[in-house]
Amino acid sequence: MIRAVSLLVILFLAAPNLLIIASSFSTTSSFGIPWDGLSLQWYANLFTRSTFGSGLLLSVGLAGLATLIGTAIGTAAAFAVVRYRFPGRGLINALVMGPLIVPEVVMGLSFLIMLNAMLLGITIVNLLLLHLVIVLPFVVRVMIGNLQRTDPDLEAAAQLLGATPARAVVHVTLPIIARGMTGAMLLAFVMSFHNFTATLFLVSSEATLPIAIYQYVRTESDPTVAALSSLLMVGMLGIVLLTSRLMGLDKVVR
Amino acid sequence: MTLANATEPGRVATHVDISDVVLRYGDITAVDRVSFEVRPGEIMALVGPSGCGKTSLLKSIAGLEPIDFGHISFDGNRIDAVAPHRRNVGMVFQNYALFPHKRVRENIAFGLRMHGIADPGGKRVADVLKLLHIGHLAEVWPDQLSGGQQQRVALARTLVLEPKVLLLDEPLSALDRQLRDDMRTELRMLAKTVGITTIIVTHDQDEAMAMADRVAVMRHGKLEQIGRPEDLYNAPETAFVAGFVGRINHFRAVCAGAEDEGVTARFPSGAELHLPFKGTLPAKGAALDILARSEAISVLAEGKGHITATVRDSHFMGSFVELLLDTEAGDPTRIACRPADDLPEPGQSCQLHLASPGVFAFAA
Repeated sequence: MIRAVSLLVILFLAAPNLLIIASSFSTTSSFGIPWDGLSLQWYANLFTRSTFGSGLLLSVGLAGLATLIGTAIGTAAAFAVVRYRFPGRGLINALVMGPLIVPEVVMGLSFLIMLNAMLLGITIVNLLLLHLVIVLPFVVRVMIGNLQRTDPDLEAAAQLLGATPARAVVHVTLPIIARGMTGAMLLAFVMSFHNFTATLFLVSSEATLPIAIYQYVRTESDPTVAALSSLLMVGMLGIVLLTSRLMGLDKVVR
Repeated sequence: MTLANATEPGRVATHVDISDVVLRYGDITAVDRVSFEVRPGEIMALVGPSGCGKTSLLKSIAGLEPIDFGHISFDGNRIDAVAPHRRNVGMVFQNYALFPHKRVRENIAFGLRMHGIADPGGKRVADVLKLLHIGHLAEVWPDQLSGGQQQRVALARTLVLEPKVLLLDEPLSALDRQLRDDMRTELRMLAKTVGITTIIVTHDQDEAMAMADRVAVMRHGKLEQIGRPEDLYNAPETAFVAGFVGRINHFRAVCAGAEDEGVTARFPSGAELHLPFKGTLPAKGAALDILARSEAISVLAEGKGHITATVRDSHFMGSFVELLLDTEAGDPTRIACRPADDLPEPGQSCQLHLASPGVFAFAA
C-alpha cells in the first residue's frame, strides 16, 4: 500500500518532466505526447538558434563563477560564524540568510536600482553580483552544518602536532569538509543556473539560458524548448550522478 | 634520541613551572592565580569538579588558551607566548581527535610530516606502533577502531614526536569500565617507561590517585591543595579536599574550646573529641564540620561513643558490610564495617566512636 502510494507520488512529481521529454520528440509543432511517430526535428532546430548557444555559455559561465566565488566567500563566512564569537556575528548570519526571505522580484528590482545608482554598466559583473547574493545563503547554510559536525579539536590537535594554523586548515579541515563543499557547489551551481525572476531585471542584450527560453516561447510555440529542456535535464542528471558517484551524495547533503 | 632508547640514561625530562596563572573568559575567571611545579618525569593529576578550571589550565599549557597573567615555563624557558605548533607539547584529547580522513599510520606520521622530520623506512612510526601494541592497526581507518584502540593511536601520534610534556584530558572517560581499570595502569606504566613529564586532567579522584605521583585539587579556578595521594587523603587542608579525595562522612559539632593548633569538638550527645585544626582557631561555641573517614569510625552496639545513630539499612558486600545510618549529628552516613556477628540490625540504635587518624575538623 505504502509502496503504491509512494510510486504514485513519484509519478506525479515526474509527470511534467516526462511530458516535456515526450513532447521533444514530437513530429508536430504542438506540445503533447507524440502518438503518431517520433522525430528529432526540434533537436535540430535547437542548433539553428544562436540565442540558446550564447545563453548556455553565459549561464554556465555565470553559474560557474558564482559557484566558485560564492563557495569561497560562503565557506569563509560559515567558518567565522561557527568557530568564532564576535560582535556582529548575528548580523552576518542575518545578512547572509536575508535573500532567502526576500521575494526574488524585489531582489531583482532593488539590484537594478542599486546598480543604476552605482553606474555599474557591465552586465556580466552585475549578474555575477546578483547571483552571488542568490547562492550565498545556500552555501553558508550547507557549510555551517558541515563545520558544526567537524570537531574543532581536530585543528587544535594538528597544531599541537606541529602544523601552523593555516596548514591545519589545509591538511585537516579542508579534506574533511570537501564533501560538504562539493554539495554546496552543486547546490550553488543549480540555483544560479536556474535563476530567472531576479536575473530578468538585469539582462540587457545578452540573455541567460532560462531567459532565452522565455524569450523564445513568447513568440514561438513549438517543442524546441522541450528538446532543450530534455537536454538540460540529462545534463543536470549527469552532474548529480557523477558527484554522487565520486563523493557519495548521501554524505554531501544531510 | 628515539623512543627505543627512551629509558636509557641521557634522556632528560622537562620541568614544568606554572606560576601565578590567570585565565579569564570575559567576566569569568576560569583559572585564578594558580602556581605549581611538575618535576621532570613526574605524573601530575589536576582534579576537581567540572568548571573548576582544570581543563582551561591544561589547554593553556598546550597553548590553546592564552593566559591573561602569570607565566608557564619548561625548564626555565617561558613558553606562554609560544604558538601551539612550536611548543612541542603532546596532548591526547578527551575524544582523541583522530583525523578521520587518514589511516592510523598517516595519523601517526602527520606530526613528523609537519615538522619536516624524515622517517626512513617508517622506523619511528613502527617503533611507536610497537610501543603501544597497535602494529596490526597501521592501515585501519579511525572509525573502525574501538575506543581503547583510538586512545592508543592518539598516544602514538603524540609520542612519536617525543614531546616535552604529555597532556591527557580525561583520558579514561570515553572507555568502558573494564577497560578503564586496565588502561589507568597501562597509561601510568607508559608514561614512566617513556620517562615523560605528564599532566592528567580528570574529574575522577580514584583515577587521579591511581595514576598520578601527585594530585592538584582545584575548585572555582583556585588550587585547593597539592600533594601525594596519601597526603591529600590523610591530611586534607580543606573540607572540600577531604570530601573530594576519598569517601567521607559528615557530622556537625560545636567548638567547646580551642588551644594551640587544636579544637575540642562537642557533639550533640555531649561527648567531646580533641582534633587538630589548621588555620585561625574558631571561637568557643562556633559550629564545626567534623569529617571522618569510614575507617576512623567504629560502630558500638552499646557503651559510650561520640554520636548516637540508628541503622536504616545494612548491605553485605563480601569483604565488608555497609551500614546506612541516620545520626543526630549529620547527614545520613554510610560506613563500611568488617563483617561481625555483633553488628546492629536495621532499626537498632548504636553508638559511633571516632578516632584519629582520619577525623578532621573544619570551621562550618
